[in-house]
Formats: sequence, C-alpha cells, structure tokens
Amino acid sequence: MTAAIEVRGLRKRYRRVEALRGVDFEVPEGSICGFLGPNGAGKSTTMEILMGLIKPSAGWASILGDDLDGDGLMTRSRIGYLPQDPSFFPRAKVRSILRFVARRYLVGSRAAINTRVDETLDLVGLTDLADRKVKALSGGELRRLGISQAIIGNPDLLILDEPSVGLDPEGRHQVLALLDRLREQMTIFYSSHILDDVERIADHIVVIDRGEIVEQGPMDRYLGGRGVYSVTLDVGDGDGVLRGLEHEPWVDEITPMGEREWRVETPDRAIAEHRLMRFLVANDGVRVVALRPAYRSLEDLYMELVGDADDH
Amino acid sequence: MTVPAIEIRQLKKRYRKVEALRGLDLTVEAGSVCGFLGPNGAGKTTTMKILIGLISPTSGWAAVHGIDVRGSGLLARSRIGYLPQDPVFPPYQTVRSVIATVGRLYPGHPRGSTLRRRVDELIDRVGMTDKARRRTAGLSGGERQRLGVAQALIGEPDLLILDEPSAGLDPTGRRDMLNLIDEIRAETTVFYSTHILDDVERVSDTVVMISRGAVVAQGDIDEILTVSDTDYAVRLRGDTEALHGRLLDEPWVERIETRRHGDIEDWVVRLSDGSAVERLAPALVESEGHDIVEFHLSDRGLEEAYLALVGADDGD
Amino acid sequence: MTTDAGTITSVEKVGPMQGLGGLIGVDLRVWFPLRTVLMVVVGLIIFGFMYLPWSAAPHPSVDPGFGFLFLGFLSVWSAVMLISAASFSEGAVLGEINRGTAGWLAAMPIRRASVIVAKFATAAVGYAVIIAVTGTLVYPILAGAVDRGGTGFRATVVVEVTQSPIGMWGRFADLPEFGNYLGMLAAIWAAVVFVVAAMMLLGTFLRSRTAVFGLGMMLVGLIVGGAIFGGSSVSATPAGAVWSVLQIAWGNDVALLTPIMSTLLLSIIVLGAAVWSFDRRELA
Repeated sequence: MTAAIEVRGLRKRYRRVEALRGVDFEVPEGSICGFLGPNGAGKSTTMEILMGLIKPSAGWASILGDDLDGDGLMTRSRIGYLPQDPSFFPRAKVRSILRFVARRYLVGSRAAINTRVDETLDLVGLTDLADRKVKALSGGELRRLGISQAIIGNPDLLILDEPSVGLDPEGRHQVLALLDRLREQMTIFYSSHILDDVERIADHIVVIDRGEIVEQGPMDRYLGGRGVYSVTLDVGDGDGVLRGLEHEPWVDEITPMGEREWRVETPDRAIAEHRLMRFLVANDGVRVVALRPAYRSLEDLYMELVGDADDH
Repeated sequence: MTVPAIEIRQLKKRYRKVEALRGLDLTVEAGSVCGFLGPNGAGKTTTMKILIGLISPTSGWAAVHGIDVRGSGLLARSRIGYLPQDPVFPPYQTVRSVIATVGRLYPGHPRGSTLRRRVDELIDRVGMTDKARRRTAGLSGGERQRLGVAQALIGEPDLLILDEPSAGLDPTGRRDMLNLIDEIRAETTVFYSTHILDDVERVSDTVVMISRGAVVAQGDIDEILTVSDTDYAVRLRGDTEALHGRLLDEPWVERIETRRHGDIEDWVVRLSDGSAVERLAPALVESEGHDIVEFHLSDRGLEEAYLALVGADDGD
Repeated sequence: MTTDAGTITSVEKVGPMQGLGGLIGVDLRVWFPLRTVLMVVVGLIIFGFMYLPWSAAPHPSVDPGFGFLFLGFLSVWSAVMLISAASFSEGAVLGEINRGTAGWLAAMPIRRASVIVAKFATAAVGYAVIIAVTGTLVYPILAGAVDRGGTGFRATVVVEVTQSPIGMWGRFADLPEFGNYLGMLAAIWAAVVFVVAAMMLLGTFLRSRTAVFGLGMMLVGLIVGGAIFGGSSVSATPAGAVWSVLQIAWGNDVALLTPIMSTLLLSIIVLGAAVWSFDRRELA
C-alpha cells in the first residue's frame, strides 16, 4: 500500500500557540480519508501546510511521493484543493473562474477545455449559474464552485477542508454522492464535522486533537471487526433460543435488553453475518422481527477520543 | 386547548423580485421542541426574523403565544429569546456584561444581586464559567454561539428562537448544544433551524419543513418517519440474485426495491401484509451464498424523508 | 482523457514563470479599459484646470509665459499619477491575501513569483498607456499654446503671490520636441513604476492595508518633495526622475536617461525583493 499523503513529526508554532505538536499520519492511496477533530485542533493548518500555503516549523511531509521542500508545482498540478473559506475573483463569472483554473491544470484545445468546464459545472449542479458573477453566489453555491474548481483538473488527490459546511441536507447529500463517484479515480482527504457523513463514505479516518493525532487507521478497525447486534424475537421462547446461541463458539456474550430484545456480541462480524440470522430462524416457534448491527458509531469513537476536550 | 407558542397563517414576504415566503402556515405547540428544516434560501431565517420583528411581512398573520407580532411586537418580543444566525456582540464587553445588559432590557427585569445571580447561573449552564470575564472579541465560534443562547435565555422567555445554533460547531460543541436544548425544553418552547438532520431526530418533538417559502410537511417527528408495517429493510452481502428472483415469486411479496453499494445490497421488501414476516425471515436463509447483515421494519431516516419532501422540488 | 472536442491532458512540465500568462490575462482586466480610461480622463481634467484660466483673456501687464502652464501641469499631473499608483496598488497584493484569493492561486500549479510579476507588469503597462495617451493628447494643445506666444495670466492675485517668492518670469522653456517630450513622460512613468513595485513589496510583508497605504503615501511624499527641493543630489533616484522633468519644464537642460534607467533598475530590485518576500508569506 502506498501513501498518497505521509506526514512525520510535523510542527507548527505561531507566536504563542503551538498549532501542531508533532503530527504523524498517512493517507493510503485510493482511500477516502476523513480528517476529524474539534475546531482549532489543527486540521486546516495541516492541510495548508500540505498545500504549501504555510511553512511548517519542523517536520516532514510527502504528498504524492514528493516532499514539501521543493517548489511542489508539478505535484500541485495533481492535487485539487478546497480551502475552508473559498474565495475567488469577486467580479468574475463562474464559468470564467473554472476556465481559468482548468487552464492551470490541463493542456488542450479551447474547445476541449470548455467541454471539461461544462462537464464539471454539470457534475456539481452549477450549470444554471455558469454566467453568474462570483459575488452574487450564496454560501452553498460558493462551496459548490469551490468543489468544482478542485476537481476540474482531474487530480489524483483531492484535499477538501470542510466541503459540507453551510450546505443544506440536499447539498450535503450531493457532495457525498459526488465524493462516492470520485472514489474510483482519486484519493480524497477531507475534513468534516458531520460524523454521520464521514461514517457513510470514508474508509479511513485520522483524528486530531490539540495539534496531535489521537487516532488513525481504516474505519473498519473501529466500527467493524467485532460484531455486535440487537436481536428482536416477537413470539415463542426467546430466552431459550438465546441460551442456545450462547453455547455457539462464535458468540461472546448475550445481554437481555428488554422484554424481547437481546444484545449479542461476537468477536467476528463476518461469521456473525453468515450465521446469526440462520441460527435464529432455525429455531421453530420464534419469529425474528429485527436484527440490527449495534456497533459503535463514529460519534461514540470521536467522543471517547476528544469528547471532553472542550474549547481551549 | 392551549394557545400555540407560534401560529403563522398565510405569511408572505416579497423582496423586490423574490418572493421569500409564499403563504406560510405553521403551528408550534407550547412546550415542544420544534426543528425547522429546509434548504438554504427556503425562508427559515426570514420567518424567524418576522417573528422577532426584525422585518415585517408583506401580508399574513404571525402570533407568539397569541400576541400579534406586527400589532404588538414589543409585547411579543418580551416573551421571546432569540439567537441570530451569526451572533455579534459588542467586542469590548465581557461575556457577563453582555448577558446582564440584555437582561436589563427585558421589561420587569430583576436588578442588582438577583440579576447577577441569574447571569452567573446562565453562564454556568452554558459552560462558560471560566470565560465570564472574557471580552467577546476573543471568543471562538462555539463560545459565541453559547453566549448567544445564554443571552437569549436571560429574559426567561416562553419561546426560544434559535437560528442554526449548531452551525460551525464541531461534534463536541454540537453535542453540548443538543444537551442544552434538551435541558431547557422543560422551561420554554424551542423553535430552532438546522441542517443537521441527525441532531433533529435526537431532540425534537415536532418538525416543520419548508421549501421555497412554503411548508411542505409538519407534525410529530414519529409520524413523519413512520412508514407502513409491511415494508421490511434487509441488508445483504454476497450473491443475492437467486434469492431476489425466488422472493419475487412468492405470493406474499409485492415488490422489492434494491440499492447496491459496494458488496452490500439494501432491499426494501414490501409484504402483502405484516404477518408475512414469519415467512420472510426463513425465506432469507433458505439458500447459501449470501449473508444477512441487517433485518428490520423499514424506518426511513429523517434525511430520507427530507430529501423526498424537499429535495424533489429544490431546483437550485 | 479524450472528449468530443479533442484530447486534454494534465500539465506535464512547469516553467520558471508558470501561470504568468493566465494571471496577466486576469490582471489586465483590472486595468483595461476602466482604470486606464479613468486615469486618462483625470489627467485631461487636471490639464483643463491648468489650461482654462491660463488661456483666458490675456492681461498685458503680467505674462507668466507658456512655461507656467507647462510646469504647472507636469508637476500636478505627475504627483497625481504617483498618488494614484499608490492607491491602486495598495490592495493589489495584501487585498488579495486578505480576501483569500492569493491562497487560492498559490494552491494551484502557479509559481508565486508569477502573481507578483503579473500584477507589476499589468500596472506598468497600464500606466504606460495612461501616461502616453494623456501626454500625446495634451501635446498639440501645448504646441498651440506656444504658438499663441506671450499669453498672460489674468488673476493678478495669483501672480503676486507666485511672483514674489519665485520672481523670475521669462526663464521658462519652450515646449521640447516630441521625442524629448516622450522622454519626459518616460521619466514620470519610471517614477510611477517604482511606486508600484514598492507597494507590491509593502503588501507582501505588512498585515494592514492602512499601513501599506500610509507608507506608500509617505513614499510618494518623499518623491514629490525630492523632486521639488532635492536638487541634483537626488538625480539618480525616482525623485530625480521627476526632478529632471520639472527642471526641463523650468528651462534647465538636464539629462533624462540616467534617472530613468536608475529608477527602473531600482524598481526591478524592489520587485525582486517583493517576489522573495511573497514566496515566504503564509497564505492562510
């Protein structure tokens, strides 16, 4: 597995504040990696360092195999970036902004560039606003323009700083769908506060708190692995069935959760998915009405890691 | 019957070219927590600003606890606490003095030590005790939002109007905000707008959804989320084709909606009647080749409901 | 990636001034046509304010001569050009940094030097056009004024005030030939270009636009002051460029080439410093 982003011992000190205190993480190539953490934890700072907008006080980072010490221009032509507060030439039209950006990343005839611009406008749903001036766009439209200018150059790596902030549910849904469509083509590293969104789409997470990485790795490791289920049986001898289940070698523990509901913990989700429903149905006289995975949500994990960090 | 906390009838607001509200009707019962949802630009902030008297409607009726907000705006306002979308405070005032200043503005406000005690209570409640002497200029977004709630509560309002209280907050801040709303629901009606549907599902009793200046749905959150007892959600992994065909042949299966993502397939199986579930479960495990990840009555999330109600006609 | 409209590929090599062409295209739009036309109009208005009272009915007893018009126009106009250069360029770099567009550009495969050079080059071209067009439009009128011969100034009060401290009418020059006149315009342009470069440099390391503007105005003040009071000691500086212009209008014979070349050289050095400093600026 090669890393699209690799960061070692990255530090950034502003006059009095240490924004990053030795950050180490990597983002595997081809992944969608969610970058999580409280406001002020250092997410934007990290991304800005990766984009060469600010210089680290110490440490090393490599992005698409190129370390940050050079001018990085060649690498930057393979990265699309959406800053936290995207801003563009206020008097320019949406279409000319995209044309300008496309020309920085792509080489081709005027017609080919225009086609690419139209495709991208369509992809983010800005076709109707193509001739509107930037300063007349709403916050959500501005962010969509930001996303479109980040993907127009067909980058290998997409770095998005809170692409969903300020979007309404519909807009957020569209962003998720777009990222999902792009996952085959590029690595995506994005920060977000909407953990449910991250949970839905990311396969990797990096969690940062007060300038230090507190957790990183494949999402499965946190949310998958063990299989925990809630089982509801509505007629028959439920207790008897569950007692039988407890003797199965692939079951760890069973806890009654209510009149007809039990919590079943297993060490291996894959086996549980294969066997649990079959085991329950095989018992005559009970009726299975619900089987729900009850694994730890990303929010649970997040709150455990940084929950009581509070503002600082 | 009690007087509703908010009652709006045929409210219209026209800006030069744009019709921001086109005949809005909504009711928020006293004592409830009501989530106010809708796309950007749907008219949420406009509605709230009309209630608080910051802008006046072109036509229609709006009342807070039965008080007409146009005719008796001052009286209505004295019973409302309001958190605007981007709260701004005098930069050189401290957290404590902002709250105290707002407190003195409410009619019949307590004075002296009573006011001071109330201010301190509120500061404690929003978790800003250690920041009480800070100037508002140095506050983070989350802190400003919490101060905004505290100053909205100082007048002991019967109705709390919060315009996107969670905007810009990180997950911890959002959780704290939800807990705060949950705590104050006993004292006041809460009417708040947000884009985070999962949060609404957690704390609200009722929801109002608007789109393009008109209400598209309102009611109990359970009602909006409930679908029939014949739809079952099944999540499968592996080869599901044969199973799909076999189930469709069963007389008690009406139809199956499928949606695939990765190696997971989500089905919504509609049964001819609810009791057929005792046939469905065994049928699912009759053959090998697939695993059953999830199985339960289909309950669409608020997001799905929202997208179905609002998404369809959300043009821009 | 192939589309119906032909192939399109990723950028495969980067030049020393990657992005310059595109940025110049953007910045030219800042200067043409609005700003250029505006500044030409401003120049003509200044000339009009000088010319109209001067050309009013002559009074036989006073005769400040053609030079009074020539010197007056050149000094006021060049001061206004310098002030406008400081005002227009005050936000060129820092405004873009504060607005966030500088960071947006820098995140693209664009060399940061290109951002500065594009802004400088377009402003230099803009002022070349403004100064050349205004100067050329004014020249035939100046020539006509010389032909009219001993025209006088009617407002005696003004003459009395101006006469006593200066008190040397008649030493004013004739209108130089068009070639030499263009040289004078070039000297004004060089001083303006220097102010633009200095404003770029200030914008790369200061954090407040007020500070950039204030320092820029102080610089303009120094140049104008130097041009009036500096004498030959300032000749190889931007102030010297303007000083030489005023001296020629006064009737003294001074060289233009040295101050122009040294001012342009100085501008390039300042611009180099701006590029160096912008490369190190944090754009977050």
